[in-house]
Amino acid sequence: MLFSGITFLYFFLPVAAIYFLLPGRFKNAFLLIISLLFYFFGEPIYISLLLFSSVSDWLHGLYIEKRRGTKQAKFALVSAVVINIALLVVFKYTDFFISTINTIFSANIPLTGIELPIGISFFTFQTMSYSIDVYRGDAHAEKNIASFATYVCLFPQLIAGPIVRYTDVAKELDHRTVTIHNVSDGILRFCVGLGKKVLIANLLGELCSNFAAADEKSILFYWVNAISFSLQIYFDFSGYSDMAIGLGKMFGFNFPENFNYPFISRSITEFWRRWHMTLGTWFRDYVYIPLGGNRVSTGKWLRNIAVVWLLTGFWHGAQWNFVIWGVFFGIMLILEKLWISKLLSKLPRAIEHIYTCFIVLISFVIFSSDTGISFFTNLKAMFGGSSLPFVNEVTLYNIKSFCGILAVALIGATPLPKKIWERVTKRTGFIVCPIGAVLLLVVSTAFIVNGSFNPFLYFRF
Amino acid sequence: MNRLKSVLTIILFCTVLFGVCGMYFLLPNKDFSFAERRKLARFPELSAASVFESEFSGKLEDYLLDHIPFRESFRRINAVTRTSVLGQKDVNGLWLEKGHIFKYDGPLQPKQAEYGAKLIEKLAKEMFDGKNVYYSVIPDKNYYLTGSDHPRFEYEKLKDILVENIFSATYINIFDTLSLESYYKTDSHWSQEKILPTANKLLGGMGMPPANEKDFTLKSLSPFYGVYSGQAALTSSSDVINYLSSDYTDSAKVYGIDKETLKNVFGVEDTLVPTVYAPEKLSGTDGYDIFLSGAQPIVVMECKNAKTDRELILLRDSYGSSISPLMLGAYSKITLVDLRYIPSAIISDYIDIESADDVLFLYSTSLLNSSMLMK
Repeated sequence: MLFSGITFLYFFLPVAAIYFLLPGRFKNAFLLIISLLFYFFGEPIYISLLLFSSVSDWLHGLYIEKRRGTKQAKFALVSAVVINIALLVVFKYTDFFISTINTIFSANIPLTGIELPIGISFFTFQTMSYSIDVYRGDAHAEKNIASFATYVCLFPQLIAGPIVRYTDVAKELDHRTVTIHNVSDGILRFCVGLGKKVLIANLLGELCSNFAAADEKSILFYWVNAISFSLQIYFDFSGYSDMAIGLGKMFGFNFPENFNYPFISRSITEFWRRWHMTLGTWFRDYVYIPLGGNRVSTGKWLRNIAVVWLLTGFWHGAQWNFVIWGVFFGIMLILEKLWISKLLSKLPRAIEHIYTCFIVLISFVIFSSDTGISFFTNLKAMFGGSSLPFVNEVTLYNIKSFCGILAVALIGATPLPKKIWERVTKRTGFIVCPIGAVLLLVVSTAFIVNGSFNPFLYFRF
Repeated sequence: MNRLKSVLTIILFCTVLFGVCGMYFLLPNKDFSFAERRKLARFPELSAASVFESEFSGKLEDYLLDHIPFRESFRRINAVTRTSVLGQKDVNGLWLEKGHIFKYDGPLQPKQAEYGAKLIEKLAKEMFDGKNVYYSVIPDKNYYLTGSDHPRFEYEKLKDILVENIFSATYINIFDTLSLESYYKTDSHWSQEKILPTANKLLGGMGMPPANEKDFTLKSLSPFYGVYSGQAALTSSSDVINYLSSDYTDSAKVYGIDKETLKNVFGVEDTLVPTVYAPEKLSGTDGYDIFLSGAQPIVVMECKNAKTDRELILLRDSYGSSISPLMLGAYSKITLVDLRYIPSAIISDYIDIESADDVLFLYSTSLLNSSMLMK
């Protein structure tokens, strides 16, 4: 079930609203039931994996807490992590490894055809973080399996994040307040997210589809496509995060922010502090820092960065272009730390922004490539290496047709709309907010009706 | 103020949410969308198999999308937002310009055009050997749209492909007989009352006497919502569908393949009305079906009081339905064949080729660009 689908908007949500009529002691159980129903709707078979991962880490958590400080606790932690990673490897990476072996060794091992369970990269990371936090003493083990399962299966963040740690919501699982202000703010956030996904990301996706379908491309069209895709990914994913955070807020949960205007960054280091923040902090807290972070020799520090970014690339997908994308960022971050940052600090801010946007753009060309090396072809075309004309009729037509949405996306990627909104709603918020929310809902519905299946891009993770 | 904002937001949001949800149950279901010319999705079968194979969830979403209350209003909101707010040049490939809705079907597909040309050549050379064989191309109305920055089809290249591959038929150029005003505003087809010069150019090219304007009486039907009006939801305007009736059309005997064969061999229902014009079909799924009952594999028109005894076989697409009645006075029999619905290999089983004098392949640029639809 998608947040931007009719089933969710006009059937699931009205049913979920029963939550507000229930007494406090039934709220978690109700949330758990509808969350499982939500997941079952899309994954009727693999819901078993979700339940298995939840029960496994719940049991591990209890054992770890009981045996904290002992070898058995460590063993239980390793067991919990291995089980979760095994789930990921089997269900996400098996065919990737088989294809790679077949390519390298000219083997003919048949692919398993295992389908990727929706959200597996998110819920395994969540349950892993729980076991690790319990081991470290950062969290107490949840004794109530229903409460723990509610945390893992909570539908707002279940299938595409943000990656919510147990410590983020532990208190709210036991006791949370639902106020009309929270519900209203949640509705507004949800509607903004829906608009970002349906009205901006999907339209940018149409431009990218036009590019892919065009028989005659041009250098400019390659650049326009790269910009569109980068913005599409941003609005798709941040839009989804907004919807998840908005939904969480409606039900009394405060999920962590996942995006903070990454395109205004002045360095790649800053970009990754603003882009998919919950993933970045997850790798920082559970991989980078345990490996020693930057408090080790230069060689080990480089190793730590390489490991984190290799894993980040891998996390994004079972394809070589994602691995190369992760490695690309790893190299850029190392270069920044060693040399580029010092240079950038001497340059005007505008140059810093241009540099960052340029590197991010190139990275998304790699990210969007079908295969591990097709990005070479795309980059070559972008820089005039494919004897394409600079511009042609098809390019001009698409630019004219999509300049409106590109402008909206470029401005929307900055804090400017929020600043204007805050100024406008200072005195007129009581009418502008409700009308704005409903307008976004209605217009987004209109676009959903016009289109068809419009899955989130990060659905594959 | 903050409280008022929160209360209003919740109330309005819930009104829309529960309102739309409730309307699904209150409003009657429709089986067909006249605007989109298609059957609407049916409620999916609920079974263990459909649920566990994730079929049910996907089909349920399709069903809910198709049956959303005020669907046409939502489509209109989408079209207006895209064009007027975001400045998009088209909606689903359609756009409104100079009072007409246009659609760009995509660039020239040389392989498709070549396939169509070779099929025409093969039939002209083999099946219609010994006959006077002609071919002509009907441009879509985009051809006559000048000064637009929308993509333009390569009409001349298409003609070149035909000329390079067709040697056994004579080309009749009708491009100069048409203009933008020859076409409906909301549909892809031409208006019958505007194409008498086109019919006469074809007749002249085949050495036949022209149709006389005075022989025809104009009759009008409205409103006609063409195929584009539903697809785009860009405008609520409609057309008037005019047809030219004459003694030839009124007295013509019209028939096709028998009902049983249509069902058993071709798997289609018999929808042919035994008259040239079927005004009652204006309110059907496609108003253009008033001309010879729309899509048929074979239609025969016999005209006893025609000016000559000559017979014509017209291999055509939907455009042929409205131009052929204008040629009826010149021919005693016109047999219309649509190769999208009957394979060329078996048409001799269903039509009398022997007695035909002239053969005309008359296809639109759209069909020639998707020639592989023809068998």
